[in-house]
Amino acid sequence: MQCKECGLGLHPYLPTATQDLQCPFCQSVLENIDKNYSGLLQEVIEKIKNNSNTGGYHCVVPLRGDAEDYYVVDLLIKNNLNPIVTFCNSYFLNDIGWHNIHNLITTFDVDSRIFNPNLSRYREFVSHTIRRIMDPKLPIRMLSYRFAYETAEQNNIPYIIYGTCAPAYYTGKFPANAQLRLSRWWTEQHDMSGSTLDEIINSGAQLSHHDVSNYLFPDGQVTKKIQGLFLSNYMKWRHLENNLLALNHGFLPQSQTGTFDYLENSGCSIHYNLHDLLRIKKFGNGKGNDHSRILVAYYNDNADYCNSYGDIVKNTQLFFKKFLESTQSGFEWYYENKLKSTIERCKHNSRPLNEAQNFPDWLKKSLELAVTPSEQYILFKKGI
Amino acid sequence: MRIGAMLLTDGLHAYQSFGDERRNLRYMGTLQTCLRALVYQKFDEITIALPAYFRSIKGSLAFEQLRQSIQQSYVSLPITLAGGTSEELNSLIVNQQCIERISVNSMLFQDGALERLKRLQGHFGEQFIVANLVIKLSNGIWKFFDHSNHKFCNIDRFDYELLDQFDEVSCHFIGQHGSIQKFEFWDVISEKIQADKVILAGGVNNKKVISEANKFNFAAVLMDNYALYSEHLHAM
Repeated sequence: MQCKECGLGLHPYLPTATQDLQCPFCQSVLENIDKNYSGLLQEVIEKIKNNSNTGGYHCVVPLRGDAEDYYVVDLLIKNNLNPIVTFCNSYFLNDIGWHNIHNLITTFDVDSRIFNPNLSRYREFVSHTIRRIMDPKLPIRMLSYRFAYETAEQNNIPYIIYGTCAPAYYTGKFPANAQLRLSRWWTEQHDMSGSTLDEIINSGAQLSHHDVSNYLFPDGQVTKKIQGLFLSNYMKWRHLENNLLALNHGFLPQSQTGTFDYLENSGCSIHYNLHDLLRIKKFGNGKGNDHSRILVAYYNDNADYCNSYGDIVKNTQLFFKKFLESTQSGFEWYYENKLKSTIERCKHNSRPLNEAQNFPDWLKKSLELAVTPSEQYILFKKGI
Repeated sequence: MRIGAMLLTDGLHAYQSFGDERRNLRYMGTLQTCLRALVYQKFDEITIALPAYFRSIKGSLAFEQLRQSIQQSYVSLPITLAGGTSEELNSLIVNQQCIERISVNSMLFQDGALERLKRLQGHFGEQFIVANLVIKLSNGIWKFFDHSNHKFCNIDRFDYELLDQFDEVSCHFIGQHGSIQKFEFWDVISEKIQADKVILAGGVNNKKVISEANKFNFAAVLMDNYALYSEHLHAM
């Protein structure tokens, strides 16, 4: 069912029960375009500034290593705020991802806290979430929330700052100006498709009570004192343009086959590979489609930039071998029974990303500077 | 003053409302997740509205889905069911131990309402049934909305003696376009309704509104969707 306004179908993440409602994505885009954001961001920044702690940190910024981190940290520093950045090692980064993390910390000269989870337990949880909910990145997202809150609590910092409020921006699930905050409800609804972490873990993960504690969303006593804010709720958010700023600071975009957006999640070995494939299997929608919707809706540009999925099998094999340390037969079983049909469907529906396609000029810089990773799934790498 | 939360649902999903039409709803996630979040945030009570347009689409199935969602969420808070509900369906739900009380609107505008009210109170107890006054400022005049006839009613022509028989009265403001800015309505109807019976709902989405409501000594306020956006809300 297509929306009369934006010409796009309802986002596949939304349930079928919503199909006769107004197109929420279209509404969200209009709200973002129409809303007068004047002074809103400044108001939030002043609020954060007035709440500095004794250590001088105004807020925590959790990093993923992608271009948005650069934009957020740059914006905060330009407004005379002193953020402390946190990073949880997902063990999924390639050489580009590690470069981008280290380069951010060095370039902006910010204090950082880095957490490397126990690899064997983390690996068990990742393999469990792939089996049960087809989401290999859930464990790292939960770890990242927890670590950011713990860092904020230990340093008496009242704010955690994120960039994009994804459900409002990509799917229109919420009004663009709803001023959503990170909460337990948020994580259960958006990261776990309505389940709780307890339900996911208790469905067969070999994790002890102690192991699980690192992944739990902080309890009410903590979230009462610390607010997780999304900057995209306080300004006209244009993630493609915002992310280009990172190129001025030595950020490396990564060539992708699953999207034309080489800036978002650049440096993550799994994001546009197994992770995207499982998303297509579950919802029939890859991240590349989301980026195309953004280009159509916010930039009024033709977004018929189709994707090819040629490297996915190779990368997935590497994930099984290098990260999961699985046997070849294990991979083959998973490929035959879980991935094969989806990959074939993707290949059937996709066309190669054609460089001759007419990308907007302002986007071309990110395509020209894009590099190919020399090594995938690097567990740890020393910085600059 | 009690602080509750209000959810709009089709029995399975929760929605954010932007007007009185189904197509103006925005999806907020599964009802179970939302209920869990409200329990976690330690609200005093929850009002669940199941609008007529959902019931007429899915028939009694919406109620069955709602019952299952509530049961599976292990909600430990008192639940009020609102939204054009009929006695039979509410009795069904009450008998299955899912909700504590119902909130009625159409009945307030019908003949023989007092007898029906007394019958329900006799059967389920006086606290079982609350009145749901839907209030809107239309062309500078405050009016009550009758859901069954889809008509606005002048507040001077309303039967306040009937209203007085209810345990509590939910004053649900519609068309707020955000949060309640002023409490002008209270100047108009304060002599007709006891403040300590009033549950304020609709457009209650920030601390300022809550503290203002507290000054009037209302029985409760029902936070709208903002309740879910922020887990620090219960600190208020």
